[in-house]
Amino acid sequence: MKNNKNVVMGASLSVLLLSSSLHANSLAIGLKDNGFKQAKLSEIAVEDYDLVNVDLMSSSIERQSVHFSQAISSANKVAFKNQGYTDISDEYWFEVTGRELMAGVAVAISQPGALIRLSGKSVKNDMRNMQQHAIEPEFVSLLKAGVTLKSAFSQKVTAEQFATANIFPNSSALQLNKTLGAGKFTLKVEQLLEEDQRYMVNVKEKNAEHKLHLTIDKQSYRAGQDILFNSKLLSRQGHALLGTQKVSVKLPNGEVNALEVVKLDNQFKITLPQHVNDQNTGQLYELLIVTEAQSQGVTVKRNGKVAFAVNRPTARLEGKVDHKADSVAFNVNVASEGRYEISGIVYGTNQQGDAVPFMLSRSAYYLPVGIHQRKLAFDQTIIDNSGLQAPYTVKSVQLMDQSRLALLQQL
Amino acid sequence: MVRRIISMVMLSVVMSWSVNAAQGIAFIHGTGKQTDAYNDYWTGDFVNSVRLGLSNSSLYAVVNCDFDQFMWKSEAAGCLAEQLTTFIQQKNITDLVLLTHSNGGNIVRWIMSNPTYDNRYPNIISKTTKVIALAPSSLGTPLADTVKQGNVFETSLGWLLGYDSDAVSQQQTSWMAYYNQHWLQGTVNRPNLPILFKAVVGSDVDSAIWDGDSYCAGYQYQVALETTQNWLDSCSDGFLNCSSQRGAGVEWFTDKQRTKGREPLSHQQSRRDCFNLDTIIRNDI
Repeated sequence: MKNNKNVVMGASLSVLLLSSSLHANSLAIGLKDNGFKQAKLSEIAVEDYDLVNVDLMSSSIERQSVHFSQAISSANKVAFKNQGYTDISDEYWFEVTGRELMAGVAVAISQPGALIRLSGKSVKNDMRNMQQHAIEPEFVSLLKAGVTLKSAFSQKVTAEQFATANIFPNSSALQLNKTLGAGKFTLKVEQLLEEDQRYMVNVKEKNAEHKLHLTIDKQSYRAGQDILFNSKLLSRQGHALLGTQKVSVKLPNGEVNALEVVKLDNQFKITLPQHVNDQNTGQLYELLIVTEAQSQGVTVKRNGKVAFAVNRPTARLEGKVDHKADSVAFNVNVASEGRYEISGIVYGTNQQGDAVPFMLSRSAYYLPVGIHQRKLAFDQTIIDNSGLQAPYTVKSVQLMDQSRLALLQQL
Repeated sequence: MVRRIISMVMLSVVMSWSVNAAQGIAFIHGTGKQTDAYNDYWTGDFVNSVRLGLSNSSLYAVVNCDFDQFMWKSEAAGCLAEQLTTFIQQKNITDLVLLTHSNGGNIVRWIMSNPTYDNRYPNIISKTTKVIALAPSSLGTPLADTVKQGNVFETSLGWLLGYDSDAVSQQQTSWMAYYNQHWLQGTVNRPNLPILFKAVVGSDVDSAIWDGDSYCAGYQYQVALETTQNWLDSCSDGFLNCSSQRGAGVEWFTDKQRTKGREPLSHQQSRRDCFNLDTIIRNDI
């Protein structure tokens, strides 16, 4: 499956559509200098990974070929590069039992006026008795050094009030009085709870001095690729706190696995568990971080999470690219039966001689296993209306697996 | 004389187009599985007021789909595509306005951004002239992240926190960042949507017990949404940050710029006939 001959690739790879005019009846397949200082594509390199055969998970996927082009704004700077994401957290959460809440659980507050939410968990598909696990805020007390604090809360929200918003079921919330300041407290529920019933305790410290900045290097990975991330507890001035962190990953099926972390210069590397049963099309993994640090004698706790996709290479574009009057044809090497979309941004030349993007074109096909030549079709009306001239080029070519919602290739 | 004839011919062409063009509007609800969105999600007062903006006010449809699912699912975008296609065909709609609320904007963006995913999508796009997105959750909401905290599968028990909805998973902020980056158009650094997508932004929640405006669409909702603002930015409608509502397409207006009495629209109020929202939309279509 590998072929490395006569390949030209680059970060700014483009496909030369025409050397003269799109209205020409016949076109030169070979490439000529189109005047742009960029690499041109005549053949796509086969990258160094094997394709995999995966069962089709949905039978309702479209079988008909569909082509669609739209005009796009040249003013809009489109970035197709697979980009990272940063989650900024000013909160933390942990799970406790009813027994622990009745005995009292420790909460670390680093920001005066923090908001604490208590949510009873429920068994999946059994929402009938949810409300009976709600905690009544009137029965919650706050202690410091073993002494119950009077006027500890400035605001109390009942489960009934939350339920009205259809957002936090089975939950209640309490806002700490700002005069209490920061430090270690004990949260205790005086209400009779089922001992083994589980609850989430969420501490939200809005406008906190320290926040967790969790950055992942991209949001779409090919299976087997290293995942790089960075996590820092930063002050408003950008000073980092030294602390501890626990790293785990939540799989699309909901399982959570602790992960080994390898430190690399200024970031961390993790490797995902093998043999993940991902029968959940379009669902994402989550990188979960639990951090703790000290700042001037106060414990700062933060949790963070960021989502990403892991895609299996079910197909790829490779080999010769064939340039036609109304399209560009690619070889699609399909290892898994399914529906695949080829897309690209078409550029024309304005009066100043600059390449300007003006059309986004896509073509999708349902394909069996094998190598297929399929075209990326263009819309002549949009080209005519663009007011732009040849030479035309296609950039940002992508291959997507629509049946498994996976980004497979970006050229 | 020649010029006059040409003008008359042109006028007749325009009139002919006006007569033949059939403008319709579809009301597309947000998260949830709806079977009677007319009454349960929008209310007749809102729908019947907005549709008066049509030349023929009978050309409207109220969509009922399962938007508890991920946007691409047949029960979500597939259901929406089916109902819009039927509406277009049965009423010969040539000029379709889509009015969405909340997560309904994401389902519509899925269709507009993935035209080759389903052979019904291109025809819907070609008939649609604009999308009016009321409080769209384009960048997700931190509340969805909060609901999903601790929501992990444990083989023996399968405990879950909150509502077990894929739509809630989808609207977590980093999940929406992924979908926006790879599967949806209209956000920063992404191709524009093929159709105008104009957002109405709700910026605050009023729940003062002495203020009659707090009672529009239900006082109890205002109290709850004001509480949830604790997890959101200072500019929010109680469910979504303003930045999320402005995250895709163009901003049409932020509530106070146009509402009666410069009242803010909470997430509950932005789907009801509160503070002239219905007439503002009516006059726009």
